[in-house]
Amino acid sequence: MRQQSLKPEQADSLTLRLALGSILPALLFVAWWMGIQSGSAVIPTFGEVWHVLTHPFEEPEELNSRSLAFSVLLTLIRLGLGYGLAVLTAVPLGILSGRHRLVEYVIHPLVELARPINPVVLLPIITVLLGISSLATVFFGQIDAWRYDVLDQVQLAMILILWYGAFFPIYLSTVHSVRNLRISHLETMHLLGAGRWHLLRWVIIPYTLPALANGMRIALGISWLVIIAAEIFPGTRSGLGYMLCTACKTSDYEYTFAAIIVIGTIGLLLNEGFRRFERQVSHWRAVEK
Amino acid sequence: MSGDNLLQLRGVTKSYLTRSREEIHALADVTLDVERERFLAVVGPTGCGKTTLLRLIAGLEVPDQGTIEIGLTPKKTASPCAYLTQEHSLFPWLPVRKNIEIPMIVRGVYPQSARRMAEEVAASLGLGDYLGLYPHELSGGLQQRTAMARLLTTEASVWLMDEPFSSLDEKTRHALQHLLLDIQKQRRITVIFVTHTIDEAVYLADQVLVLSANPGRIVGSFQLSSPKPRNRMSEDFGFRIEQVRQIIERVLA
Repeated sequence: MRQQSLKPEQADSLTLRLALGSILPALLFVAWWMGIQSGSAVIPTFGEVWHVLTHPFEEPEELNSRSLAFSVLLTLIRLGLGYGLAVLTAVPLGILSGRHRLVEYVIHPLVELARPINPVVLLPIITVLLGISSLATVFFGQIDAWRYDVLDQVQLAMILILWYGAFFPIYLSTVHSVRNLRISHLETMHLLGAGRWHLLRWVIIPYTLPALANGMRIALGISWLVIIAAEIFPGTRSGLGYMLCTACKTSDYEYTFAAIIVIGTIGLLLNEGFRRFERQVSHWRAVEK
Repeated sequence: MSGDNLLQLRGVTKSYLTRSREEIHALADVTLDVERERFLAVVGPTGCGKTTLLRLIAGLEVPDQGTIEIGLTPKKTASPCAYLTQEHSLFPWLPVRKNIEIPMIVRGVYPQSARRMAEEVAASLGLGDYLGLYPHELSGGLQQRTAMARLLTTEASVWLMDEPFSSLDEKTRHALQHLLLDIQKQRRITVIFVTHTIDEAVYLADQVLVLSANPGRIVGSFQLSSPKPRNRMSEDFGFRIEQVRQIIERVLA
């Protein structure tokens, strides 16, 4: 019988991993190439897509959309605001719920009820409620809003559903983590006479950080899915999702392809960046072998 | 509070319900006086209320009946007691340095003084080279050394120690026992030390209490007056160990 190692396989060299990892993407390119060869009108050539990707500041004349770079910028601003708001609300609430049962009893039912609802399906109704209110209309009023180009493109409805999509994973991971804190650590601080601030700063937050970072990474992935989908809805005039969708309507498929590639790449970078952060804040956890 | 007594327990009783709704009498009517700067060891079979006794004295739990008085004015909000267990005392997310600094940080000691003080204490305990490491990178012995360094930076004058050296190998355990005796002499602290090893109790303590299990009562008390550090090879040492062992066996029977 063949000897099987119980240990997980050793990590191999980076070259091997890159080589193996690029097999499937390469197949994808082959499929794309075959599509081009078939003469389909929907599938743009590599050159056309490459042109769009390498000229990100060009305002496409044929397309009712801003440049690729501006679209990326707007999408990221929306993401940052909605996601940031989710972090700022979910972490304190999560800590509060994790520490106090009564708070959790109040919050928990609504959370479990709201969590399964895909945030994108709420967008139409939220758009009806909030209209085209944007940061610009909030700060400068309906009439002058158009003067503030970027701010006017950041609709409140989008921030709200981004918040909605990101809130739950962050909140839930915080609650679970805070609850798992060892009583003995809390007792140590109690005997030292520590107040709330010291408890938070030296015990609760550093203990929770690895789980929180994990929750935040998952939430960021969800947010990225949500924002692109939301930008496809009517009422938007910019963003990666908007560009992708508009290009489809006018049959400028090279922009659709370019947008899809950018979406994938940014998603990957965000995830990898966060993974690093997660590793960094989790290093104190002993690795069990 | 009378005389030199630091700690007075009067008729302290504490019971628990287990999961199967069975009542455990961890401590039943325990009356005890502990003098200042004494080293009290508590031995007894597993399941006797040794840990409960420490937790009650620390104020982490409240007795069902009876009173516990500590003859010290508490400094600000910090407890006059410091509590050390067999494991999980250190904060694994902080390096050794910060683990030692924590009591001072909580007290509001100026950061630079706290830093210097932590370095001094670490050096005196042979931890100077490990200040930047995290608890999981240390051996069990170094972890408990760090935990003792942290006790040293508190202002606690009563150290409650719950089998602190039980998971260590013999050589390390003996080294830490010796260290503890030195600290006690220098800092003039009172120690209540729970152990299941009779040898450890007889080596360290001025007084050994034997506790029975369910109900947890004091069934024996020995004064040990020979000077420390004691010689484990001496006749007296062997005699004392035998004495305590017999009591425990009688209790268990």
